Amino acid sequence: MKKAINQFLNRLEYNTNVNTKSLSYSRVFLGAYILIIMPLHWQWIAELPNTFFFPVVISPAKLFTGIPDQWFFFLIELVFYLCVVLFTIGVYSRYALFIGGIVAIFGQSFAFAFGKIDHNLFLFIACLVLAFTNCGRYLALRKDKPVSLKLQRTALGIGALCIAFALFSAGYGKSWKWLDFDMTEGGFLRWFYTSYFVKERQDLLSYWITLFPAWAVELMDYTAVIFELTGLIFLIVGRKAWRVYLGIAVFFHLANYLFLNINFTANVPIYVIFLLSPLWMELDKVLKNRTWIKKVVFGLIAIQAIIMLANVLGLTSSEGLNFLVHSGISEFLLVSLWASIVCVTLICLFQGRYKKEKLE
Amino acid sequence: MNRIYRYAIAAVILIGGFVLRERSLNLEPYPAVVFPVGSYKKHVQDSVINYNGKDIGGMSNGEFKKIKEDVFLNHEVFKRFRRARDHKWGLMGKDKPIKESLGFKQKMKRLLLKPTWSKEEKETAKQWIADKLKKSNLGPDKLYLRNSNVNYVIKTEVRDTLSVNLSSIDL
Repeated sequence: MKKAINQFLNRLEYNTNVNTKSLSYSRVFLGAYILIIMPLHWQWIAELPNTFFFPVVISPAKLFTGIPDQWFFFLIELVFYLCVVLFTIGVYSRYALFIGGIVAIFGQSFAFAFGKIDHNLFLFIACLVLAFTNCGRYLALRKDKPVSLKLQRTALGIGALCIAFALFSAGYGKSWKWLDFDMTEGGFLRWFYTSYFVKERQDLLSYWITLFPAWAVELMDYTAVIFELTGLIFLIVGRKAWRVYLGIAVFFHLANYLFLNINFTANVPIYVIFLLSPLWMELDKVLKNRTWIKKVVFGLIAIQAIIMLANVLGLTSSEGLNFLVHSGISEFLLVSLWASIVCVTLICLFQGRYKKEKLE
Repeated sequence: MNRIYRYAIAAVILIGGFVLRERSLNLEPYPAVVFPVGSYKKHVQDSVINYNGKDIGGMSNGEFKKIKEDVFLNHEVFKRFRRARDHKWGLMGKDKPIKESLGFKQKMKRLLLKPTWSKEEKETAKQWIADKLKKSNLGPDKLYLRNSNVNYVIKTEVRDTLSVNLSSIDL
């Protein structure tokens, strides 16, 4: 039994393993992504009266008898951004990733203590996964001591398992109702109607859905359920299969954004860890003799980091480059982001880059 | 730690959160590694969408008006207050005694039961809400919750409000 479990885990870890150097690029990407695309704030919570505080049954926030004071949220915001800055530039990366991930989950538990839970946990899962790898060994101002490759492989395996399981959790509930082989009812249609007509999310390609024939809309129900339920199978089948599945997942999120205007931006960094590793290795070759590019990129990230820290300290209300995400070109930016990940994945799959990837 | 134990711990966290969420949406823990389900369905031939809308606001010249979202914090976080809104912003029910022991028993009670708030905390909340109503140019003496059942006719793009239930909380 133990042998069979170990064989199963070996396979899972082989399929999800990525090159250590590419993990360092993913670490920098994650830091820049949080600083520019998804900055998090918690100080607004302290402004609210205590009586609004209704945390869910199991949540770190439930350990508190009310909304903590301003200084508490200031402190967790400060610790979080210090951690993000540290792991981005590569100083005590592993500790910074771990503490940053935990602090963010803790802070978010208060943000969700008024009723609505957002499902953006993968931003922090990406931090926690990278915290148990050697991602702080390269592209770092202060290189981390190495961890065993066994631990690194397990961390990546668990990260991949989390992705497949989360998608399964969404597909499981749908499967009982959407796989009905009844052409007169549609689950995707309900999503679309609520989104388009009630919430008035009518941007990008959402209008196109109104032109789709009924069978195409019904087909979307089955496609969504089958896709969401089969992640665990792809995970076991092979390295390429797992990347194919993640490629479909990214395409699925892109389609969701285009047609329903629902954006799962928080999932990008964890997909990037597995999908963009060949791209990072190519980039590493290009940057080898062009250190000035590295310096410019690090300089830009450092400026953004300083602005974000100044924002936390109340010295400025600006969020630096984050204005792009709220500007007129935000849709273009986000569509480009998802689309470029799809394109890179397709190129890597066709060129067999995932199979050829050098693993330690 | 043995690799199998690491995976076993991960499996417990993953499955635990999922099982609780499947039991009831109110039991969904945070953090839980789950994605939203949204398994509702719609008849393909339906030309009308029926939905329930909930708005909070106040009275202006005898008419209900929604509170300005950017005043009531900001647009993004406005959506977050579902549970607080359904619990009438914690303003109803018994008052918590002023002096509360912070012993283990009290903490466990607080963990398992619905929170109760002291008279002072409720007053602070009332003042906070009244201030937001004032800033929205609405009467600050009452906070209104409007529940409306709406039919939206797709072809004509006409919204027909079938019923409106207006409830209020004195501030």
